[in-house]
Amino acid sequence: MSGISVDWGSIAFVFVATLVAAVAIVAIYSLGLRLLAIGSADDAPGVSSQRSARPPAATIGGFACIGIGAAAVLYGIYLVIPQFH
Amino acid sequence: MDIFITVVLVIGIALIFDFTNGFHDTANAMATSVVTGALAPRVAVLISAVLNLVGAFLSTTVAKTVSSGILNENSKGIPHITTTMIFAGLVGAVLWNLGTWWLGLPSSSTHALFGGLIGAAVIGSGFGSVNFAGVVSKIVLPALLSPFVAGIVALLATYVAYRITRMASVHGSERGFRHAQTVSASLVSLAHGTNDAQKTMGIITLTLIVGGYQGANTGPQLWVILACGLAIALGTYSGGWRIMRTVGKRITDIQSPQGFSAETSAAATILVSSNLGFPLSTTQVTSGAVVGAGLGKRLASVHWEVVSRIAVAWILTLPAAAVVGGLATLLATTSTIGLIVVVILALGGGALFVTLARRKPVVAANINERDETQDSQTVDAGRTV
Repeated sequence: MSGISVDWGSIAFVFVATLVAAVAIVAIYSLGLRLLAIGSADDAPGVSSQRSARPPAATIGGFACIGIGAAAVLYGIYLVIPQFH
Repeated sequence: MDIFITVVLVIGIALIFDFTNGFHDTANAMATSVVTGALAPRVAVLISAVLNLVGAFLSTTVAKTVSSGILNENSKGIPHITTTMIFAGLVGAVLWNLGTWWLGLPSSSTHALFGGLIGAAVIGSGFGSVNFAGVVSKIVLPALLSPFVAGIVALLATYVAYRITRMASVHGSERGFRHAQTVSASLVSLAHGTNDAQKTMGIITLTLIVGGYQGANTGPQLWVILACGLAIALGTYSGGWRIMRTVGKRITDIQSPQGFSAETSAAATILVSSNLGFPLSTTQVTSGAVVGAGLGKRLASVHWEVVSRIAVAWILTLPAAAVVGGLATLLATTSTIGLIVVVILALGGGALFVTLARRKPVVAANINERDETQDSQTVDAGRTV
């Protein structure tokens, strides 16, 4: 055997692609939840439920974030299907 | 004629292996969702089964790695192995898989499969028949690194999710994460199809090539893809409650933001790897992600003694299955009688394990119970699946 060549590039690619995709999707979705919660009290026990109207910008931003997260998932699936390329 | 019979035997036992793989994998995909209450166990299992089948058709890169990346080939492109050896290797893998399933350990079906195959090839055709460079760079290293990749990513993702939502205390975050988790768990099932179902396809394709029924270096045929996809989906649907409990509850107590982060990380790791043809152990990736998610939220305590028990099973899997596969090869290549003995051993061993597991079943009703004493009480009320 003449030395074992390891394809480190591919392994590094798996790490970076996974890191970027997963953290981005989780972050954008969490941000969406945070924006949609503006104007509502936290769900913690013992906190008085004071409420105010959610600003339209927060509503739009929140749903946009969740939409972007969903689109990113669909794009990821698109990328792994060889028939599309 | 002899070759035809062993090819049929290999296809039969490969599909059984695929079925047991499905048994293991329900757990990986759906454990966290079921434990956090995001999905009812029965619905979770159905979604998982269907998406496993869909995933099997999406990408067949991993199948090609298995059929032409593990063994060295001769000048005609035919690997140095016989159909009898493949069969013996598979018997080793199936027995190991059923044994770890009975003990409730999320061992790796993948490593059992490769271990059995390598053991059979080494005993049957010598060390030169195995492409060790390919095994190290395409199987061993990705296998060792992938749980850490998934774990580190899940740790970061969990941290980010908790930071942004103020420890998941903002209004509606609990419900929001539970919905997200249903989607991420489904993605993991899809990812399984692109990786786990492929391994059996690769083995059957390898057998067809060696037996002369298919050209060298060709991909899996449609009927092979369909049969493997159906076998793993049926196995998944039949339920892997026993292992689901270990992964979901015993390693760490999981909340839905963690489940979402862990599953998204695991699905991304597997999908990217499938695309590059790395046959990962989906069990190890998911377990790594679950541990990462546990560390990401400091409040959750990881049960390290369970983690170490599982880790030992992982380290043992490949060599242990290789030994069983090698022994089976020694026996099966002696004579036709030897081959028949291996068939009987495989059937007998499998039947024994199933019988033993039946005595203390883990079913939909007691999936979230933690200790053994509670189990025996709930089993009476539980329906066997």
